Amino acid sequence: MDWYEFFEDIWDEIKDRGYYISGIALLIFLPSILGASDTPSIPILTDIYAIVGNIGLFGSTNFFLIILSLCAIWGIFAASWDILSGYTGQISFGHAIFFGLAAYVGYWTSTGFQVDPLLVGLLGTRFSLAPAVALIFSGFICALLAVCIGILALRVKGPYLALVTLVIPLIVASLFKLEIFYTLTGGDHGFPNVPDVLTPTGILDIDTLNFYIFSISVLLVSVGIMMLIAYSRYGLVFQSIREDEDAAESLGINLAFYKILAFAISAFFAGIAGGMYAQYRSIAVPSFFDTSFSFSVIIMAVIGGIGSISGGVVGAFLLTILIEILLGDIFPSSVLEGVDILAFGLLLVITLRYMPYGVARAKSDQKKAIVFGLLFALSWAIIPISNFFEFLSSISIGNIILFLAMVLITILTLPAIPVFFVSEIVGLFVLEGLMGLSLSPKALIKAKFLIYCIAGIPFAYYLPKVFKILRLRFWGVWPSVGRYEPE
Amino acid sequence: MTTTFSEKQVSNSQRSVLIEVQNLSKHFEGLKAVDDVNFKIKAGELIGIIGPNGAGKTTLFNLLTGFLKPTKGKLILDEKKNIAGLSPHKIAKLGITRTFQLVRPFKLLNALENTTVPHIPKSKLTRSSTLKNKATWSLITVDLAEKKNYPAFILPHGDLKRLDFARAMAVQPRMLLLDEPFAGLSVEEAFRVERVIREANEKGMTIVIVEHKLKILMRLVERVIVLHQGKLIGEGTPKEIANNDEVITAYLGTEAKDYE
Repeated sequence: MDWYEFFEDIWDEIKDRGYYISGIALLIFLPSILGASDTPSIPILTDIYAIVGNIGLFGSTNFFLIILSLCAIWGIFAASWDILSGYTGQISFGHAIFFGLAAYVGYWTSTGFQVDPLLVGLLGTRFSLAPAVALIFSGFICALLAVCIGILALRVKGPYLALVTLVIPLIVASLFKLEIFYTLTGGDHGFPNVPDVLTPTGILDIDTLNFYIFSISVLLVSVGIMMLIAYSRYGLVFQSIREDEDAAESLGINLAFYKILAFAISAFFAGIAGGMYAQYRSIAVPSFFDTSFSFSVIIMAVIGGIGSISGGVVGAFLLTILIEILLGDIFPSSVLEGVDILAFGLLLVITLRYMPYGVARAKSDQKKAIVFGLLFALSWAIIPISNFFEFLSSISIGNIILFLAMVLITILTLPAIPVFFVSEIVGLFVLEGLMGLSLSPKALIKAKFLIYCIAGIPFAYYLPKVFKILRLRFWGVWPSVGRYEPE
Repeated sequence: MTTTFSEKQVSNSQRSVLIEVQNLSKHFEGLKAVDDVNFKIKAGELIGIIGPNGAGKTTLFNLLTGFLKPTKGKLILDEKKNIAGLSPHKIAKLGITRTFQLVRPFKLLNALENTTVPHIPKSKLTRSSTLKNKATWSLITVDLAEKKNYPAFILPHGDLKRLDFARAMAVQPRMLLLDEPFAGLSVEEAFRVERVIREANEKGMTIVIVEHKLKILMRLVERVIVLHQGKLIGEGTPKEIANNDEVITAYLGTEAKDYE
């Protein structure tokens, strides 16, 4: 093979995975870009964020990092649902069973408990695990439970897994709330102070930067493992079961074995996500078994894209940031409860209408529209607040690049000027006047940013198309070097 | 041509019995879909099963491959093992597999992945490159190698028929049951499928075909089994069957006989 071909192949591979690579790089370098303490600063990007962060869209650096850790946890959970339901086609409506169970198992094993007298010789008088080991241990316990459920529900054809998983979390949650199990489960209130990996004593304030690094590395490793499984021959068998059970079985594939295998893998990673969530919230309570957990993970995976492990992660990041950073401040729960469910439903309908295979497998122009729409929205949020020339007061490369980017985006998006008026009207008149919200300046900028996003994505989608029509109408093909020259 | 045919006739008597169907019955709530059927299939034979609609041909296939459990009767493999009532994947591992009446590809997988799947359960430890080569070879045998990266849902019907065939062949079965392999194919496509079937049979695979296109079937197979209302009403070479009064009655009704 030629070296040239070799590099060309590698470049093609990189180009195909452009979104993955840039996403992973962003996640890894984010603390530096945000300027978290104890991190090396990246020359240009850190300067830019210093200005962008000023508008108060993402809150403080610590807050943003902790929200991203939450995103990572949800990402693992959504991807684990996807490997069962998206890849193998066995729909689970109660994945929260593993989420909640892992939280409790993690608490039990990491705080330790008295060992049965018969086993003292084996384990010592008191058995406890380090929080990181407890995390993996609870994953295995979840996989074991999945095998038990699977043997009952997956050996027969039909929608029995969906029915069983719909019920089991409710049963387990009510069992855990029973008074007779109080010493074991902590009753209604569960357990406070779940020890986490970084502060084994379970004190509330955790080190945000380290927790971010921890959760992102767990995300990358576990999603990486899931993707390896999905692209291996086992993933192929899972997909064939999803596509046609009878045909797969006639080819010698043991349906029950592979379905239970997929369920166990899925439960293992769901368990890890649940254990991390308990560490993140520092509690283990019966509400972890709630149906809302099960359904929001389904919605995340559907919006991100069923049948592609990365889709669940994308959906989890988009929705969690939307809920926790934007909607949580605009509509506090005292004013409008359940705004997250409302947003989930609305986004689900829009996604299924325009991108039936989810964001991760949308057409490339739609993906670009989302990326550029978010960039436009961000810059529209910055432009009215900042004074352009303030950037130049301290001349650094970052400032100049940001200034040039602003100028470029301003010129590009001049037709979107009405969006500003709409955002003023919605922000001040509708939200404050009609709905009676008292928006703080921070919430107001978030509300405007939301409107910019809603306007920016369609705008970014139609901008190149309109530009192309105009160009062909008034200019012809450009650059017209050797390609097409009308006489 | 005639010499090869007679050679086959001679060797036919020496072949071992692959599967023996004994008193096989399947009743659905009183409907006798397959009723007390007995016949033998020898290794390397090319057999056709015909019969009017609702005669129980597909039910017979489902019984042979384990998709249905028989109400009564035995399926003796190699004159020793009773395989009646085993699950389909176990029967597939014993060397009996099938295609379906309607094409059932794995729609979202591409052609290569479609033929990779059947290789997986047998070869858990082979390297993935070997697996890929095997799958590619399966596609080459049915002339689909140039379309290996196409997802199955965009392939035309004729290609899907051959893809189904390649997928079943990839199990390397001893006996292959084809459910209407020529249905909905153009003359040219049917000819290609016919050639592929003939090649597989010449390599020693036992093939059983259910088909309504009698013209193709009769020139392809060595022996024909006729079912009518769940009962076996005739068995013999295509020529014998074509002259069998009972078969003609079953297919065309009693009035047809009066016209003769």
